Amino acid sequence: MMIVQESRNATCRRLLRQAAALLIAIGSVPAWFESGLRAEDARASDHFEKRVRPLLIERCHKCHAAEKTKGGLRLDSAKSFKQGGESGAVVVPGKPDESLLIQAVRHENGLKMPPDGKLNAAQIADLVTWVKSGAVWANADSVAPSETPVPADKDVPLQNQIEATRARFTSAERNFWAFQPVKDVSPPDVTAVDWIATPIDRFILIQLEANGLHPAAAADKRTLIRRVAFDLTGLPPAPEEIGAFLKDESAEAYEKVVKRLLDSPHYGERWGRHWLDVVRYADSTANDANAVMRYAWRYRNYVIDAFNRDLPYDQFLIEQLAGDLLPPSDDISTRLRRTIATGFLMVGPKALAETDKEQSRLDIVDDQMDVTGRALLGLTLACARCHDHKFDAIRAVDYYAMAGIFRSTEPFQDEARNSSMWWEFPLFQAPGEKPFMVMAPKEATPRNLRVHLRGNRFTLGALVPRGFLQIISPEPPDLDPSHSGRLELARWITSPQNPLTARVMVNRIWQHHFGRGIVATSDNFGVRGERPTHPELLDFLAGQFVSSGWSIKKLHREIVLSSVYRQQSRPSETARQVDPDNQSLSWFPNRRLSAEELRDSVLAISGQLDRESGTSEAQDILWKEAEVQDEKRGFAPNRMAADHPFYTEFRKRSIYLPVVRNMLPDVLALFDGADPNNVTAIRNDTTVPSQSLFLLNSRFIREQSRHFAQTLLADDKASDEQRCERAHLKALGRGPSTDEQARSKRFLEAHLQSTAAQPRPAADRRLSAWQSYCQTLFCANEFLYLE
Amino acid sequence: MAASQTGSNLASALLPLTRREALRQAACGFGHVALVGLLGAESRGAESVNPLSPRQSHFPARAKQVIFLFMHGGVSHVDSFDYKPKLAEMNGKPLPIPKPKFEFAPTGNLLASPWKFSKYGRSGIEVSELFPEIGSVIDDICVIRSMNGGDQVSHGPALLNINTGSGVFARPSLGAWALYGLGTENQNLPGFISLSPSLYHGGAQNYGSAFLPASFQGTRIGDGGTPFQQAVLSNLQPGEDHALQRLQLDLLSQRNREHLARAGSDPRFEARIAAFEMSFQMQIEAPQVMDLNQESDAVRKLYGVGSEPTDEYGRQCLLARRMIEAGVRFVQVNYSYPRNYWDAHGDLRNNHSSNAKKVDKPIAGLLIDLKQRGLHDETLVIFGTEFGRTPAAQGNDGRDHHPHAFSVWLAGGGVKGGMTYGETDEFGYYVVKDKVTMPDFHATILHLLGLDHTRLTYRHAGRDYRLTDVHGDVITEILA
Repeated sequence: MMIVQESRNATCRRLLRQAAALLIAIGSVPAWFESGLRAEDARASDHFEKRVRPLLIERCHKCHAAEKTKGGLRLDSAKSFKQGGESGAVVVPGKPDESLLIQAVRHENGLKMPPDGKLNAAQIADLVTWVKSGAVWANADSVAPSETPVPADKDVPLQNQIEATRARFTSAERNFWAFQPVKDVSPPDVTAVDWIATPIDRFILIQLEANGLHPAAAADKRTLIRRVAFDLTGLPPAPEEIGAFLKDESAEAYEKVVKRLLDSPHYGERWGRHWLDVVRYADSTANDANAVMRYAWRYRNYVIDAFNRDLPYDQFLIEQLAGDLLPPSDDISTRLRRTIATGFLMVGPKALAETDKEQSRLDIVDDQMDVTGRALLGLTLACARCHDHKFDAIRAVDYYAMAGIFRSTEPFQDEARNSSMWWEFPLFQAPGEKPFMVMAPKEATPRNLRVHLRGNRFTLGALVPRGFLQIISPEPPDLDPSHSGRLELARWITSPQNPLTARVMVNRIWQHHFGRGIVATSDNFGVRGERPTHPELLDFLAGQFVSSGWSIKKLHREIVLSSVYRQQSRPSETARQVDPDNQSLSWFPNRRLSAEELRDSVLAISGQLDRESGTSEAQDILWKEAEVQDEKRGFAPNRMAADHPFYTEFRKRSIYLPVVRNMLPDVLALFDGADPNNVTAIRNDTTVPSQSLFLLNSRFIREQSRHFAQTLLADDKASDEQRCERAHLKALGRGPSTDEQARSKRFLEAHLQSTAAQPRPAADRRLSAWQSYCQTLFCANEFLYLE
Repeated sequence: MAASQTGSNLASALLPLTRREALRQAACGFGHVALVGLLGAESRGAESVNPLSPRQSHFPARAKQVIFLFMHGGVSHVDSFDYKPKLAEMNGKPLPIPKPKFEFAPTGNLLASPWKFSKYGRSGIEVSELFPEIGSVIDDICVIRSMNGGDQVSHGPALLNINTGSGVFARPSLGAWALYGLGTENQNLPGFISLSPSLYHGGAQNYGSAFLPASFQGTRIGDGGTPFQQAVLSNLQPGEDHALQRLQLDLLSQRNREHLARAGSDPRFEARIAAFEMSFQMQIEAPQVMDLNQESDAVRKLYGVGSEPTDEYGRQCLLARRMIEAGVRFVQVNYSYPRNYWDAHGDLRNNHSSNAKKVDKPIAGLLIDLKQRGLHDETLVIFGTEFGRTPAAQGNDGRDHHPHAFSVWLAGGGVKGGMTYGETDEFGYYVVKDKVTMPDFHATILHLLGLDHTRLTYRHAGRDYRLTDVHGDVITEILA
């Protein structure tokens, strides 16, 4: 940890020096005074609004504003500022050295302000610049934030106000199912024991039996290997893998396949993507600036790696929320990983153009609250930003208790100046190499927030000590006052006693295997969410998950080895009548390939997929094409639109594509890829003609069809029948029927006949015919939908 | 075959198709046709209906379709539709009232409008000499002079605010909500089309569907950086010639029907079979709708097509009318960055003059043409911009962003023509009467489409979302 600490501090110091130097330079530019009175006023007022007023609010108003007026001094309005305090005027306009304010912040003449820590050099320079240029109080008539009414009783002592932030709950709220401890459940006894492969089956079967339903027959081996290969790796099984599985008649044949798939590096690329959906991963900031986040990809790769290594889920969450605050590890890669993990807090959208910088910070906090709530706890915490949650037992005070923790963590490089450049810093540098850069937040001065009435930061209510959700933990937590409280929050979330965390995750895993969670609303376990269809199973899985050491791979095994997972995907007539939505799972629900699976398997089948892990390619192309760029920041090329050639030419898996907010490539936008502006727990499943147009006419699909055709034609000893066979095996995992063979023959002949008059070599026309044929496989429902 | 019918008969391609006709044409002999939107279990359950098929409005609609003329960059209200003689009187003097708390950058003293205003039409509404052609049809227009865009002083949040109702959070766009509420008449064309939208300032989010299913997102044709003559609908150009593609689709549909028989009926499988036939139709119909050569010289001239500087925006407006006529629900006609931009921080005179010259005639032409064709009463035309510009100067010849008060206008279906609504103070700085917030504006547009903005909701993340969040009042005074 020492190396890391040192280099971070060094960067800090360097940045501060640069900032201070820059300010001093600006202050001495002669043009400043020559450009006329109006411009000078404007600049001074700008400087005051952007640099000085926020600093006064941030660091001085605690003791020198309407609420508290230490030393008789108020620094929250022009009038009171001019009056000064008990020691007289605090500023001599134009003369910083003679001004008490400047002496105090410089710790000169025995003065020391603010008492809770010296301002940094840049902040002091800001104040000096301001005083030097006349200490203009711009917009003297406008209302400063601290002068707005504070509806919390000003006369009530602070301690009592804090007491008032303790919530009271109704018994219905306290008894709500999701807040009850996870029950210790044993799998029930059932009659049809032959069907039981893993304990899960008992829970499913007992409900089927109660509803007079029977499980569907077991899926055949071809269907099964295709299903499990896509589910675990997002890629189709190769013909050789299918052949080996069919040949293996041992009892462990399927288990061996499952083990191979779980051990494959492609597993993390599939399941990491599910996680990136809920943490709204992107490589640009969104909105006005849409700046490139050059190092976001390290977080993306961290996620993929965590799934592949089966990092215990509780560790996974702790690292993402507070990896930087964990006790130092001796292992350098562990240290790097833990800081990269906190990219979780950084990859959300940032409104850099927001002129009200505190507002922008609070919106980022809200985004972090939303993600933490919906992704980790299955609760819509962000609903409590403006008022107590309308349905769930989450009070506005709970929101601001937890929001205070996030507000005490700084995503931006210079908190006081509210710079909109987020933290990027070198974490490590091997001799002779470029520094290892990361994007991660830093701890800021810990602070408690006041309740923002109606979510408005200018109408403040009671001060809320930082904490968690009172419905789960009624007693205020004991937070280390010198830290934000993130580590404590992470430990609270991952405590085995937390009734939500394990349930939410096992439900999410279940959802991605069966198309729907045991709780269908997988990001909302609240009152307005769905109730679990199999509550006992949910608790059983959650309990097992925790006792297995939070192993996600073990959970996958339990699920995919079960009989319920291995059913056919055909409902019986009775099932169709009794349970049309298949809530009891009496058949395996089919599903459309996700946008990423579609693109990745097209590449895999055409022979073009580059199976290597991605690194920074996507971000490099964004950076290279950035439209306005300086050494630190580049604005995402909005021309990286759907039709940018990179999207067609890139050969690695889709998870490594650049994710520019508001500008997803066609294949992701059309096939319901996750919108990175939102937490996406459940993707939509739409069918519209623009998808068909993509499959028929896009350059990507047409080129890949051509590559596919070329691989088939490459073997010049093969017959067309063998080629047809090969094409089916690769795309659909099965050989063609006699009819399909006959049709393919007729199609190829008809195609060649239609192009006979074209002045092209025969080989070229033949390739076109096969290209067209291969394309029909990519368009087929049998390809797009998994049984 | 339906394809060649449509191909041979131009007129029929341009007539709005009823849903039944559209489905008959598209179905090519399939019995049950349904496009499926599995709208997320949380919202509507797994309904097997076409999410884009026309739906009943909440109450009788005043307008069936929308053309939204969007002016990117911020059109100065005090130089266009909100005449302030006081600015000329106090030119160069400081604003005697406090400036707003949120400004994009500090501004100087008051600046007189460089343009003269005249009264137009029977209504005598004052319009500046920037827009003489729009002035000539002012009796069909309702000018709202009291728009307020909240604190959104930057382009990005302000664009998102007028297009989606939120400058901060990702929300579905106005067109997406309209499509979600009403579906669309012609399944062979997208139901919501955005012409030349900017890829900046929120980009695709401005015509996106956010958490609504992707079927409601706008389809982009061109972008702000591409001359409109070069704009294309992506993936519309057939990869193969007509006969070869038909051959391919026949093979595909045989394959898919066999699969359907094997796999058992599933509305999604049937929907995708239909979708391929629809896209085949779309390849034929959309280029015809987009072919402006099918219009008479007189009509093209009316829009300024074929002459400069009106050709480009004229093409967009004319295409919008053709799309509306062909049954598209919502067309946004963007005049947008980086090629076209009203953001006159400096060089106000040149900026606004040259921009106005490009759009004035096409817009007036559109209103006249809609009237001639009897489409005026069923089409809502909106002229909007993300904010106005400061009555105080920026430099010698510029104005800054001004969300605190600005002008937009509505015309056509269900709107009173020849009226103004709301007032700003004598400087054009603040709204003093009948303030119209963005939710009010959106609520009114939905109302004209027969939709109650409080009932047009979508369940997402445990909450029922609306375009207007928890705000919005319909401006009843402007309803015809």
